[in-house]
Amino acid sequence: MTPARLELRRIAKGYGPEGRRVEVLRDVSLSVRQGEFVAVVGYSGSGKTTLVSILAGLLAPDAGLALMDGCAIVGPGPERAVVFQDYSLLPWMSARENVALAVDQVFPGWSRTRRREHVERHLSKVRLDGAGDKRPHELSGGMRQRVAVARALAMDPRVLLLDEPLGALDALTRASLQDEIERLWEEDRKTVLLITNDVDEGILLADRIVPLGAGPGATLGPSFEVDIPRPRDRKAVNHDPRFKEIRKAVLGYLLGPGRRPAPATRSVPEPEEARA
Amino acid sequence: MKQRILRVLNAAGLPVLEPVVRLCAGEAPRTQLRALALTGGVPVLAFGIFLLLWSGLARGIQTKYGTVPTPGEVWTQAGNLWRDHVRSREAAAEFRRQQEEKARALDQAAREARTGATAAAEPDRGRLLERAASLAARAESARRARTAAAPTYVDQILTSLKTVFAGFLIASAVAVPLGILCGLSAAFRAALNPMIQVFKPVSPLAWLPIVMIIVGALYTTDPADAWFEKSFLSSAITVALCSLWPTLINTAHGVASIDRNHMNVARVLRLGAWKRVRKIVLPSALPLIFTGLRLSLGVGWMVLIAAEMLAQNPGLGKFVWDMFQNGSRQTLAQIMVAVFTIGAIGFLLDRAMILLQKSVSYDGAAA
Repeated sequence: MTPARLELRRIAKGYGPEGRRVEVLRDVSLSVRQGEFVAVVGYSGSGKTTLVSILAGLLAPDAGLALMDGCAIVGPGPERAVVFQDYSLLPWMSARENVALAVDQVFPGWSRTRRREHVERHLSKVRLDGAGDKRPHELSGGMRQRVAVARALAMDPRVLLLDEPLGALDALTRASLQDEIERLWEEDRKTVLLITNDVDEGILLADRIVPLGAGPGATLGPSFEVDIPRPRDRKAVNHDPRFKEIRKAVLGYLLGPGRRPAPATRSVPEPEEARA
Repeated sequence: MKQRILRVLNAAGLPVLEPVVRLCAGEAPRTQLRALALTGGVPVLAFGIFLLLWSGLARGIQTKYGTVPTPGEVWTQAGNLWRDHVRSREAAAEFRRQQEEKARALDQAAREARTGATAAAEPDRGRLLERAASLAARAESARRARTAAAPTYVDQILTSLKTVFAGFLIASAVAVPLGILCGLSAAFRAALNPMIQVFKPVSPLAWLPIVMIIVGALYTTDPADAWFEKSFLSSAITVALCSLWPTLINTAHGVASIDRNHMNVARVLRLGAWKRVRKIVLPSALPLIFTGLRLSLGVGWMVLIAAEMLAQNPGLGKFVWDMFQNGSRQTLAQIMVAVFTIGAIGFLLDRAMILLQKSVSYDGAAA
């Protein structure tokens, strides 16, 4: 049997000094097949970004194993592209330069023309043909996120990690980018792990949805296969009985067993807060 | 057109003139006049009050060089210094013209002697050639002759500017790379921090003697073919020693506070160390680096005047000291001219740095 594309085995991760340590993730196990689109849905502050950072290799787990294709993940690399929550575009570069930085770095062997074409192709893939020369601050939130997606896809990664990519966007932009992500995924069926706090978004996009319980010491709940045929029409899917069923089951877990009564004095820090 | 002028003014740090441009364009005259009254009228009024107070108080203070000069006397003195400069330049030009004429006459005589030599027979021939050679040599030395006039006020300003820029360049060349290393490596920061903390507050007056002695010992090139004068070098190095700290500290701070997400991008892409510095670290730290450079240039300019005064190195500081030692009736007025000159140049240097910063920084903000 071929190893899973991504696998987490009994991961644990905490922050803070000895004695006042807050455990964020506890006993997290997950396996993602090649070409599968998995969504992890959870409360804000439940450790979703920590989970992505471990998979990306940006953080090392305290216990457990993170594997890609059967090999331990020891550091970050372009084969696991990340679309960060806050886009993380470099503000002193144009949209094109942001994508080109990744392409030049990942494909140094290609000719200059080939690399340039590759950049342009990915800009037009996310429908940014006319905006290549604009700096991030001249772009809307949705357009910035498209640049970030183009940068990630242009690296031709084996795995695409999306860390709440649409979290900062308004509802309408969010909806149109969800359709965009589904379209892009249909094109080359990469392995995708999507982190989100929106159950509907997870069901709409993913093959499988996994709830992450509330922290501290969050762990993953049971997987729910999303066996709704693609392409999924967002207007019709709302009335699909299977959609409603899955949503009920996921919410049932998150509001039931996944909802741990957290101690009132202690909130679980996301990594950003932990370092402050 | 209007928008373009406004952009240039804004970039040059002169938004004061914005209402004037808008007024000329015929835009909402009442609002523009009010803005002009605030940004232009109030400062002018305040300066007027300052001058009035100055003239009023100056008369009452009797010093050993007479009463404290009024603004009008200082202004006259500034005019005198400028006229002295113009006269000195004219005298120098006149002297050079005379020397040139003299040289031409000597050249002419030398040519005649050589022509005579070709026609003459032996004993005369040798004598004529010798004479031609000595005439040509005299022409050459006449061409090279320069007046030994004392440097004028403008010369002193130029010397000071040259020195401060040399010191500033040395400081930047040392401080920016060190700052980047400090920002990137905690070990490097820990190693340099105590030295930075101890040396930073040292007064230029304490550095100066050390620098002069060491430069004197190491810089032993024959003055005739040296690139720099010793005094220039010791002033510039003193300026560098005192002004590199703001750049060093701000660069280190800028590099250390790079957005973690930008560093994560670099890590995911596996950018090499050099590429990381060039593509991520430098651009993101640039606004703070420039804040440091601006502070450094300001410190350097202040330090330079003190160093020149103490070391008797040519420049504005020496001018002030010389005037003080002269003790004539003009002393106070001349020193006040120097104070205003130093202030105005410091202000212009700061503006120039802002301009430079805006042209290279991605966020275009003046910190």
